[in-house]
Amino acid sequence: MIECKKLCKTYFAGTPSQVDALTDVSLKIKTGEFIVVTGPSGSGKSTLLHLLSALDRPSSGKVLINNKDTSHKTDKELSLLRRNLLGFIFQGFNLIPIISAIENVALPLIPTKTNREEIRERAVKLLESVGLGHRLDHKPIELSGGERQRVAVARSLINNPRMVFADEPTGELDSKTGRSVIKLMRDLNKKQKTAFVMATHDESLIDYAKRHIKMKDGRIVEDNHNNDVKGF
Amino acid sequence: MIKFSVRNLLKRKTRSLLTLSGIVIGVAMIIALVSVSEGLTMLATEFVGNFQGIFVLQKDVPDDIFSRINLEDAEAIEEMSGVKKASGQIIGIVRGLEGAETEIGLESLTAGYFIGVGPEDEELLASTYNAEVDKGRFLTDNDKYGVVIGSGIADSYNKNVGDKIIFNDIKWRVVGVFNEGAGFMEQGIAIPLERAQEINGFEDDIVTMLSVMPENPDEIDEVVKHIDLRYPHLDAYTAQELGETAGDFLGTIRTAFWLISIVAGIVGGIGVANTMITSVYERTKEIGILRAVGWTQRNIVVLILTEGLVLSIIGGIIGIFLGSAVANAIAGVTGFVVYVSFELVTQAFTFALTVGLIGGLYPAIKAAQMDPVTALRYE
Ligand SMILES: Nc1ncnc2c1ncn2[C@@H]1O[C@H](COP(=O)(O)OP(=O)(O)OP(=O)(O)O)[C@@H](O)[C@H]1O
Ligand SMILES: [Mg+2]
Repeated sequence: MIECKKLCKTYFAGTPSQVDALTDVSLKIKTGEFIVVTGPSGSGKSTLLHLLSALDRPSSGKVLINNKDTSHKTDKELSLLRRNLLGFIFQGFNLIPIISAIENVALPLIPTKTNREEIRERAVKLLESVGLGHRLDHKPIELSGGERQRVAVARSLINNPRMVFADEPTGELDSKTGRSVIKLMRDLNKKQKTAFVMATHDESLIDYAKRHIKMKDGRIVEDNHNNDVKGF
Repeated sequence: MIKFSVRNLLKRKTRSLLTLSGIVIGVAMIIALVSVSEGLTMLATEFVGNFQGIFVLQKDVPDDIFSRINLEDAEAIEEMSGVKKASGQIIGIVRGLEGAETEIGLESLTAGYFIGVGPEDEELLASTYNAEVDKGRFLTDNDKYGVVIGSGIADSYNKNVGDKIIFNDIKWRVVGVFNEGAGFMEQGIAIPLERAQEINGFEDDIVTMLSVMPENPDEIDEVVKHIDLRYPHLDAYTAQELGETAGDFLGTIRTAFWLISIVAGIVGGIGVANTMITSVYERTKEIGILRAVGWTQRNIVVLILTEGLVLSIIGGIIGIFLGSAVANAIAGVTGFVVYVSFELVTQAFTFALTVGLIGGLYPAIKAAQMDPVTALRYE
């Protein structure tokens, strides 16, 4: 479904402070996969996720979404692609502080034709499913770190995405809540074939994933399929 | 989307109020200034429309107030061919009407000037100012302190025939009230010529101006020419010319007021744009998030512009009401006639919308062009 070929991302190219955040990354992600990406801080996990989800454009190389090269697509086409197919949980919470949890969850659908009632219903359901049914009208500042992260999870799912990119989705959670978030993702993965690509520092999550990609210095150093996925 | 932008505005109250007040002040300024100048223009038009006849003033005086004419000239002019009648009057300023404080500077335009006339001037007032006695009677030789007041004054001070009225430290008695639609005389008071001379400290035979009625209105220009020729120390105008001069003057005021409004508008517009730009910078991260979750650049532009438009519409409406209130207050204090026309309201509202749109457009485009990843990393 999403494929990248010889992806490179370079910051400050040609200057002494040049950073090669990604070098020659090639990868194929199929529908319904469940992938964990690990690697030391600065190894390029976030950068890879941004490029795969068409949030950012590579310095060189290609990203293909549903076999179509994204490099020729307009900004609008990429935005619509994100809106219709993809979900994103950002590193850090990236919630809008002045609006409530439910409004944050509803954000992706506001410019769409989906009617207000339906958006609300969906948002409530998602917040309930991440255990925040009692925190609908709280603003991010009134929520704990873990609760904020779960709001972000709910938001990434509001548009029924085919693939969700999760950047440190459990970084702020204790291991128990962290696992419950992973379980939620796994359930969705099983029932709706939603694909997940998750970047994390938490090595213990590797066992829950069907595929594990390890990065170092902007390159993929390991790409393993795990046939013995740990249950809950 | 509209609901979302309204929520955004409500959540950022201080910013919204700042922007809003910029628009409100701009619109209110336009309404207040222009309505006053339009009111004055209307007054001037009425003035021109109602005046007939000829005015004679002393030549080369810096202001009409300094004009001094001997009544002998009136008699002589009346003898000229083509002249039906010539009489002298004194125009003066009413001070302390019913104990009111009149402010220097504004008073000449406010409710408050008197015209010293003789009993024989009734016809003249009717033909020149369109002022006819509606209630009571005109002045007679027996009226020492009798006055005929304009309907405007009668209304404002609730005076009627037989009432006492005080101004210029003298107690007068109202003997008549002029009709409504007496133009200039609506806010004027006719007093006996002798009293006017006393108030102004003039000799018995001195007046400020002469009013001349031609035998035949079609020959008015010739009569003016004759007077100018024969009496080099005098200056004759048709009322028409006088009205036009006033009209020119008001035209200048109008232009000045419009210019002030435009400047106010530009300043307001820049203020609005400025608050909106700051607000967009403050929201860099938020816009990055929206872009990341699939909002198109266009969605962002629409969002920011909607916010700007909502503020303009609200600001425009408040501004129109505030401006009208201010205009009415000005009218109340100074006695100016103000006129808030539908056109003016439309123009002011268009101004508000333009400010909101232009003020919002630049930040909106700026916001939409931000790179989402950079915006997300922005702290
Ligand atoms: N906008 C940028 N300008 C310059 N360098 C950048 C920029 N964004 C990322 N980098 C650099 O690219 C490298 C990869 O960053 P990235 O955020 O992808 O790492 P990461 O693996 O997600 O790290 P972490 O686990 O800490 O989140 C880092 O060295 C980082 O400093
Ligand atoms: Mg990262």
